[in-house]
Amino acid sequence: VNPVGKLLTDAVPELPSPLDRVAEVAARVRRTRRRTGGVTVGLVAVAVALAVAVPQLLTDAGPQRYTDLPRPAGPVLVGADSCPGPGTDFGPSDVDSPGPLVPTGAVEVALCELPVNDMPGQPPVAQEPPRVLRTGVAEHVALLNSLPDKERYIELIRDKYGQPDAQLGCTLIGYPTEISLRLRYPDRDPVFVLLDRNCSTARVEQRVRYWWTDPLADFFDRYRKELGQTTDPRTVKRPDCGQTITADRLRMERYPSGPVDGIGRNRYGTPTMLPNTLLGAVICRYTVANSTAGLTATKSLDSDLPGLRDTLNKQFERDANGPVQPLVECGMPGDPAPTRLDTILVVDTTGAASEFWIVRAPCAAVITAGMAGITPTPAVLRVLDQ
Amino acid sequence: MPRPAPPGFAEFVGDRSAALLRAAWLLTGDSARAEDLLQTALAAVWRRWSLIDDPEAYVRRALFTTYLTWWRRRWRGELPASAPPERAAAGDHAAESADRDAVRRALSRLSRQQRAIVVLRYVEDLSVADTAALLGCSAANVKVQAARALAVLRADPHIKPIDSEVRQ
Repeated sequence: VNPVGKLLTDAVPELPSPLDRVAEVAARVRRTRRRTGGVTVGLVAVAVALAVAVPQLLTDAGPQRYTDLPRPAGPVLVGADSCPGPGTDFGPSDVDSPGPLVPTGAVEVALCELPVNDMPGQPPVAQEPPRVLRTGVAEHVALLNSLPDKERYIELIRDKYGQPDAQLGCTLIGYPTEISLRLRYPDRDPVFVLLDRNCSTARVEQRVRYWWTDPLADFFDRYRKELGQTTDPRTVKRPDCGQTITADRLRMERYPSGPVDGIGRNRYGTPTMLPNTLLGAVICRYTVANSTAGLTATKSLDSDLPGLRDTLNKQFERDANGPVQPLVECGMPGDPAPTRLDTILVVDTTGAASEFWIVRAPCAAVITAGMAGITPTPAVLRVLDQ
Repeated sequence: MPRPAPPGFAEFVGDRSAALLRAAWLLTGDSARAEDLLQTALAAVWRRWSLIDDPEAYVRRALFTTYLTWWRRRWRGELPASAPPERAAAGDHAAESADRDAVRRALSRLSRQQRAIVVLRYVEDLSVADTAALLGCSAANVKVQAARALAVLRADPHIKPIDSEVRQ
């Protein structure tokens, strides 16, 4: 046996293969033909342009025209968590190359959030550790690689919505963080994917793909499930009523105030308020005196957590116009101050906790983080009063 | 409508892909790039399938010549510019992975031509003359480059010792 050959052959790891390599090759052949056709058309266009422009240049020597070339991508600055740090340049957004967006074979996907902190008057956003996904990674990578390029994306929009002249654009929402994915591999350096929520694009160096399917929603869906399965329930702190709610927090006039929504941190992509199974819940009853809410009674809701979860999820159901339950001017800053308040505290299998505030007097409203008051459903009131 | 594969192409891919993919990995040291390289070679064969007598020889030639001509240039733009400070966590196969990584690193110290010659000579088991014909260089060049490549591998303290009797 050739020892060098054996040494090298033994070094080859188990290699992942696409489900249908022949189909992948067929797609590659088609792309090459399209590019070849495009180059031919381009060369003809250049020849025509030169035939027109050269005589003009010879007779009228004007200033030379400068054309920007695509920039090479700058360095990805890796911070303390091996995530892109401040100043990271993900490269130009106006160039593209065919082919898969990311290599297959990743063993881990981490969602990195880089605080932007450039909005005057807004409280600073803290750098949080990345969310790390270790199950369903191959499926998530397959989704990333299934995202269409611009040309195909426009075709899909045209076919689905009947818009022959679909124009792509970006919103200008000032998100507090910039999001990227870090894909780690056993046999190569990590790959970073910029997820641009304003343009709905995923970018890796010279490749840009569009969110026909939302990759961020897919990540969070998998991450919530994994976190729920891997968190030891014995380590999860059960909800506990605070003795008071201060006036500042109660009136929500300063940040941070109002109900806590730890579950909301991973709620992206689902309309469901409580996407994971609950581990514990408690009602806290308060009476307000001197602008401060004081605890008067508590009651565990652990006997029917699935029922409670269902009741709360129905309370916050939404349709195309917003919350199904009517909005009400109650409990928010500028509205009459609460005199009686119930809160429902829940903790789920991911270990996250959230609060739901239900103003009982002088008006009735359910309040949760980031949402104006809505009318309580009869089912929620029954939970509180039974 | 996707164009169907030429007759016999799918069978060829099914039969020979594993071996060719291993060779591609030894050239690139990366599973994704190996797959890309293999598919590029297979795409070249697809287009000339009806004219080819020996598809395996053609794919092998396409694999190695593609690697030698534009592989590095094409992939440079897709490599992250900075390596993370941390290492992958050691798992159950830590020792095996370490050996594998050592060989991968040793191969990365070879020139592209040396790497191609080493894989053709010692993994594909081609003769000096066949290797030279495939790469379009002289037999003497194959011998010289093979000797230099083996010297680099032998000098690497992290991989298993290579017998000095191994032919060039």
